[in-house]
Amino acid sequence: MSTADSFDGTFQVTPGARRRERKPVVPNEVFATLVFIFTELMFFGGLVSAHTITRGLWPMWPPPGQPRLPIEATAFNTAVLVASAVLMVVAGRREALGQARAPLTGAMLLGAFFVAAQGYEWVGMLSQGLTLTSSNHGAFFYLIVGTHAVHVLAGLAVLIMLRARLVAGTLTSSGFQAGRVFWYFVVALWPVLYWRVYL
Amino acid sequence: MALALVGAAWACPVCGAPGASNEAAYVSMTAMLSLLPLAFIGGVAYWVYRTATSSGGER
Repeated sequence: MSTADSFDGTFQVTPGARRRERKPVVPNEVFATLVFIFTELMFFGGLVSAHTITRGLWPMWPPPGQPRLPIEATAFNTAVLVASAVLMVVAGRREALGQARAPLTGAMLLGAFFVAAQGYEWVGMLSQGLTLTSSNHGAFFYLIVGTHAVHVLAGLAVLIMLRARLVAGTLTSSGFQAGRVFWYFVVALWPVLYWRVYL
Repeated sequence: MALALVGAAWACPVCGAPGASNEAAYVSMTAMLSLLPLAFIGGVAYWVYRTATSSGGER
């Protein structure tokens, strides 16, 4: 065999011939993240589907006697999360990775605020009697919103790791891009969930 | 004709739905779950194509 591909995306044509590097169109980290996002998208699609069909069984939603969800406070929280994605866009557009530190830190803090505000909201809902087993309304609320919150926490862990690597000077452009793609997914998903669960 | 008789034959997945809103939800969510993977894969494929052609043009 005259050619030999290697795992780092390079290949060598016959010994002694010129060596040419082949750059992937999409970095491996980004592609892997996209595949992961695809599975997550279908997972959340299933949850939203189940919620929508169950909701259609009732003439009004939330069902009578169930506490109302804090629509306005969560709308503000949604804006905070979207702002964190805007900061990530700013971070991604900085030419030098070192300049991305401030917007990355800002995105991290806004994401942390979102999770903290949701935790506060959950305490309020629990005190009003809405639990995972109190009704379909409570079950879907905690399942869908809680699953998303777990993803936000995972995204925050990614952002913390990215920042640590940025500070250490070991962050690669493709790794940063993959982290940003995941955060965009987490943020873009939330308004859809907000619309389906809260409104 | 087969499509027209689906309801009469109770051969559709939502024939037993208790209400119109539940039936509409079932149909719309079926469409959503069918189109979502196609839209995602199509979007990524288009993005890869655009990236490949633009980077090819720069060479």
